[in-house]
Amino acid sequence: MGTRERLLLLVVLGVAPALVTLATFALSFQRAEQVRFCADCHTMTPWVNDLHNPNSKSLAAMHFSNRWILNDQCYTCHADYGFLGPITTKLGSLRHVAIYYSGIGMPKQIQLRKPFPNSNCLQCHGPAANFKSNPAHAAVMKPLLANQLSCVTCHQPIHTPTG
Amino acid sequence: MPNLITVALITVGLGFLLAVPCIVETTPITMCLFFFLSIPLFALGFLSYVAAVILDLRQHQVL
Repeated sequence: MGTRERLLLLVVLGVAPALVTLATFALSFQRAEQVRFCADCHTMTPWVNDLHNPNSKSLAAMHFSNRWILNDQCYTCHADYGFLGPITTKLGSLRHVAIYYSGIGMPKQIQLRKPFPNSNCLQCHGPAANFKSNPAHAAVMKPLLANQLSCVTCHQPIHTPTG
Repeated sequence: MPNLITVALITVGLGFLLAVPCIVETTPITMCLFFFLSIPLFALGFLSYVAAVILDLRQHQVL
């Protein structure tokens, strides 16, 4: 095997796969933020039906139908914020996909892996004037910010899965 | 040594084939194929290539 042949093989077997991997990583992770991607798993169908239902009074559906969140509505609420938030969210989602297809560790009923962090709501609502000036919020601001009292304690229903 | 290169070409080729659906349309299935099959195949192909090069260099007493 000559040096030229070796270099050509390095491009085909090393450089090209590395470039394809990087590009597919970026592309697929970006696409995985879309509601369409979440809806691909049949387990999520009732939740997505609720999201798309204009008559639903759930928080998720109202955020969707009133365009309070413009795009990637599932991801916007369910992705943790902060430096490592998007990475841990995407790794957690990969874990979900692996469990879904392997069936190993599949829960009988869908539930959140950890309590919903208030920071996910406050990312948008926190700086809003109507949030800050609301006396009900002012009274519980400290436990809200410390994540000791969940936003969803008062704001219900979050999802009303149907179908 | 040529066998190792053949193995490397086949595994990387398979890796490319399995990555194409994910590039065309990302769904949980195509994403699983890419992450759990394509990437390991790429790694296997590259390792086979490295092994082939090392064997070749040893044969020519460069290493």
